[in-house]
Amino acid sequence: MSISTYLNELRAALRLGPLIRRRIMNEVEDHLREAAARERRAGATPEDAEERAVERFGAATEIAAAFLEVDGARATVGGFTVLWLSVSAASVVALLTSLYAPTAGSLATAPAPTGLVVETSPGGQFAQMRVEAQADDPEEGDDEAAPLVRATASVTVGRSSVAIRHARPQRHPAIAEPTTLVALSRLEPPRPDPLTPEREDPSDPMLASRAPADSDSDQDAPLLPPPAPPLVARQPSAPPPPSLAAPPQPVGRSSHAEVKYPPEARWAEAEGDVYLILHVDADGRVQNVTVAKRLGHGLDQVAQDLGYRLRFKPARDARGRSVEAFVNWKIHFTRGQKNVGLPGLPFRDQDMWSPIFPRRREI
Amino acid sequence: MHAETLKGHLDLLLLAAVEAAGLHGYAIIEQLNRRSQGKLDLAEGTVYPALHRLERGGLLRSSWAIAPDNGRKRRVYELTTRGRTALRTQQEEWRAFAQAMNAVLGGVS
Repeated sequence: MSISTYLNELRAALRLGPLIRRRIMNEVEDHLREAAARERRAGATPEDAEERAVERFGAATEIAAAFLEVDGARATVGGFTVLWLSVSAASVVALLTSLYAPTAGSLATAPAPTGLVVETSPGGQFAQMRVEAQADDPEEGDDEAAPLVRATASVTVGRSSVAIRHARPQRHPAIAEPTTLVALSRLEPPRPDPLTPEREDPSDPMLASRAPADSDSDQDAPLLPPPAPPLVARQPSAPPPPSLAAPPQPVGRSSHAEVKYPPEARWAEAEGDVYLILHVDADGRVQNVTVAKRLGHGLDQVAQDLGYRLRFKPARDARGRSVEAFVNWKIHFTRGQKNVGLPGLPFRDQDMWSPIFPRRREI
Repeated sequence: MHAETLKGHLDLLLLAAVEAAGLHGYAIIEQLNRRSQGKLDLAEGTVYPALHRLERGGLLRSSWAIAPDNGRKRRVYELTTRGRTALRTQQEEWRAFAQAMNAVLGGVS
């Protein structure tokens, strides 16, 4: 492969902002030209020289994936809207529709265009959803190059809260930024999701089959997935007013007992953030911790354990009553840290609890 | 050395390579090859994302320089103070680790 063909492949795979991409392309080209010049000095033909330089550099898709992992967070890329539409239009509707008639065993895989998986706890009281979607068109059969978009949703079945957390994995840009918590503080009576695509008909038999969570728990409700909604941009017209007055507030530090930094992570020099979704009950206790973005090397487990140790002043609704809520939480790990102390912070104030539907972002 | 084994130690190697002077990517790879006498076998392209990661972590800083031989722009990397400290710490850790491994494996301790 010639250097210019290789550079074209790399450029196509680097879904990054123009500045960082230019810098990367500049560095790579400089490297390849220098390597080829050296091969030529050693007696290779110009074609062979370029071929060898490219070969030693590594497959364009792999190198691009490595760059995306590192430089992704710097770039501003407009995949968010696509992501949001994928998650909201397809998955949220699919999830909400199916969750209106939940039974412990019947929350089976609900195939959605983005590949939606719904899991339930044995009691059927807590559900988790993972969605893997692609923000852009990937190369055919090339998983490494595809910028996967992952969404995690935490859902309380039979109670009043639903939260959706969607995130891009490390290799995808701006993981830390688009943290969105969607909350429906009252699902009864069912109302149409404001993000429901236009073609969804309220008289849809799927919607009509919704039943309260606590009724007919052993009834095998038909949970066919709803028809795939079109992934078309649509501005949420009238977000429902938030019914929560105050988010959960972390309290005290006594529970932040130190834990050992896993040796594996120390050797791997793992560093970064683990993102969690905490399900905080009306007493301020953390009932469930979902890892929304992983770091690996045993740090996710450490973060999860720490998540369970956190205590909160519970969220309050408009009438001042304690209610359960979901909180996004970030735990930062730094290399060389022997122990993990105070384990984290909410992402940002406005992200910590956001009882409104997120606005669509402009690309 | 196997590429996977090498991967885990790449950061330390890169920090060590630019310890004495700022270098651009190609020169860093040459430096690694020279010092290891060609025993470090890694896809050269993986060095750049690693350099970017180290820069983001505040251990390296980089700036553009013009190559004297061909006039091309080059990104030159050098250690920050933090990077220098991290290099020392990791060198010590590595030596302790290597010593322990050698002791267990029956090599030179």
